[in-house]
Amino acid sequence: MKIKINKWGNSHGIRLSASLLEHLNVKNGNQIEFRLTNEGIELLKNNNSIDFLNQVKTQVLDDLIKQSFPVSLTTNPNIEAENDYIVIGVNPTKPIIREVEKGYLGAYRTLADAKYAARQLIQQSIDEAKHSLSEVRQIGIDTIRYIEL
Amino acid sequence: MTKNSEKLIESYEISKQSIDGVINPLEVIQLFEKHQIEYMLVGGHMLAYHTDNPRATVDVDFIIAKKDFKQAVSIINNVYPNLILNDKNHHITFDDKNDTSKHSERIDLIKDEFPLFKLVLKSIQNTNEEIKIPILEAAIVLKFAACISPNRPEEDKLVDQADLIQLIKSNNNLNKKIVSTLSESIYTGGSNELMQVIEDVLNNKAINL
Repeated sequence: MKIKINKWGNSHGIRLSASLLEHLNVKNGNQIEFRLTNEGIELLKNNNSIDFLNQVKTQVLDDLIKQSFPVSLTTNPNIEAENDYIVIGVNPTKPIIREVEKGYLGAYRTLADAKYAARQLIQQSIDEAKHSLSEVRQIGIDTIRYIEL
Repeated sequence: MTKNSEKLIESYEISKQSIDGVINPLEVIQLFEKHQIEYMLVGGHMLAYHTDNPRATVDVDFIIAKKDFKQAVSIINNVYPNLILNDKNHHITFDDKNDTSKHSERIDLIKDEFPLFKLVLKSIQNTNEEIKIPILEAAIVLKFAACISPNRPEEDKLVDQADLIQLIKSNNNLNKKIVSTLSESIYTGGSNELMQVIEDVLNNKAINL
């Protein structure tokens, strides 16, 4: 890809298209890191935004879904099946159980075990959410007059 | 006997069926009225009064004005010598010595140390008789305060949350200004949170506090 150099005051600049800005995960007015390399200049993606974090999560989820299969019906969830099971906790409030080939790292042998792990994940999320709800109330507030009964 | 008294009798009778040694709230109320104690009946009996849906409760809870607290403790001590006084810093409970469970309290006298309690003491429901119960708005805010307190055991807060939902659903014409003023005394911004909770409950949405 070639980009034209234009005069900009006493300096010169290059134009970055909307699609390039999106790829770099920056908006007008943001700062961007660059480094000099033997080949030229490398513009570095902005990895510090919430948007980027969500992009990474979506990417990881997509990859895991591609590597796995939907859970098939079983007559007994407590016995080992043809495949193992993984619990995808990218969103811990809504874990996804998928089948994977035997030997997959961190997989569960039975559906019952995977369900137990998913429930644990949800329960932990609820506990953490309650705690953070208390913390949110406290942000920027002098005192909360909690009832101490 | 008035309808208001009947509601308290009903919650007392229900409590009596499942818990030994429960105290009749009207009995204690009469004592406090006689000695001109500034009090407010709260807790499970308050819920029964406002919701027409009484549930069993182990104790009779009162918020007591600071000026009358010592006298109220002395009255209960004299009238119920079989109950054991248990000073819990912010409140004093009078416990049933025969009850070895962790729910042995039968009368709970709460100091009006928190700003909300002071306001609640002034928010008296007009009952046309000598029973001082908080208005519904105050009852809702009290339950909300209990629900968000990190100092209360989780199992108590589950009951508090169910109580809060019942109270909110018991009347569609809440005075939002009163709810707002009272809930802001818990924490700055408490009014916004409670208003949202009320809206969610009235729209049958799940709440988590």
